[in-house]
Amino acid sequence: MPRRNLNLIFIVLIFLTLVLFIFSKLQVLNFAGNFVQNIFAPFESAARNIFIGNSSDLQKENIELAKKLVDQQKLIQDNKALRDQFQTSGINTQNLTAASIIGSPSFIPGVSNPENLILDKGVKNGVRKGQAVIYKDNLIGIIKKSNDNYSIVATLGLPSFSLTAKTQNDASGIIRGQDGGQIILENVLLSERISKNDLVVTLGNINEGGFGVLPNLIIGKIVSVNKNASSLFQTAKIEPLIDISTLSTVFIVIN
Amino acid sequence: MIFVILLTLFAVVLESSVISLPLALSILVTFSFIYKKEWLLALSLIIGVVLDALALRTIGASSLFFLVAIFVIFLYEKKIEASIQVVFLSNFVLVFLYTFLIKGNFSVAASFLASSFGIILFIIFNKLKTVSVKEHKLRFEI
Repeated sequence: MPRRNLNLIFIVLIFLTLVLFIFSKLQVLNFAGNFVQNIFAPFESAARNIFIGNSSDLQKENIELAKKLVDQQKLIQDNKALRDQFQTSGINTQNLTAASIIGSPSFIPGVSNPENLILDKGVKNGVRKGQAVIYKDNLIGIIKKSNDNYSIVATLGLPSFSLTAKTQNDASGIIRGQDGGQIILENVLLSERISKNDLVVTLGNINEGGFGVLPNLIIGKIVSVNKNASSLFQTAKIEPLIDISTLSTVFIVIN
Repeated sequence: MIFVILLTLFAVVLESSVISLPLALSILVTFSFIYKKEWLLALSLIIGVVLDALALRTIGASSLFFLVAIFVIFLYEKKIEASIQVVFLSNFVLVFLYTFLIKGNFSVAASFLASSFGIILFIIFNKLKTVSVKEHKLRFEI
């Protein structure tokens, strides 16, 4: 092809791209983004269903049992604390919005776990940054960003993710995501007793705007404990009870 | 041309919903070695816009990268012969840079996989192109 033509086409297209980039930075192109997302959403959803599929019955049963276990633990805590209102939690279904997972970029099936999820609900549906995303009392992640129709969820395995948590024996620590979607419980005092198969739940982290994570949402169970006598703290590796990659619907706690 | 557009759009859907490999970039790079047509630049812009919109990124970021990448390939098309090694290396370097600059992470494995995908495309479409050119020449002689 003639070099002159090529240069001219390149300059025109680069100029056009820069204009788009600047307009997008100024949030002027939100409608165009929404338009493209609306067109491609059914295809994304179909592709996800074809390549990933839905969760099995056994996993569902496992989740139900874990939920019962946490409920029971919660009941014991309620009795212990003489029905202290602050230690009880429960999510009113009116405060939940169902959202379909339409994308999970940076996810390679069989190699890594999803670190971000794209949901088909956005600001128009009351979704805001910082809201918790759950599935049957299991914490899936937190809304990282949302526009009119869509939102991105930072899952527990995202390396930048951190959240306060506690075990069923009330040993508190910080949950952090690691490379490859692993979840670690850190900053647990050596004096605290944590052991394999202990359930880890959220400690509760609601901000002044009313958004955040409710207490007693299941994060996962401890699969290994790293305890060193010379360290100040002990750490534990956590495995979520839910395989996020198999989910197709999650719930956003909008209030 | 229509087939290339459909293939790239399919890659965009996969990339935004199921896998993290930058397949769209790999397809564009490979086809720019095979076809060397200006419309690939326009396609890069459109695909970049769609990809950014679906990944909720700033629209234009991917397009900018795609355009520069394809333009550089076109600039050096006469100096470098399009061989499997060249296509693999270009794919590898560009995918690595793309994941680092646009997605904010880098993975050698992802670059390797995307480059291998590019190589497979290159072999298939190069063969098809050769067959098509031969048929055309035969018809001309008759």
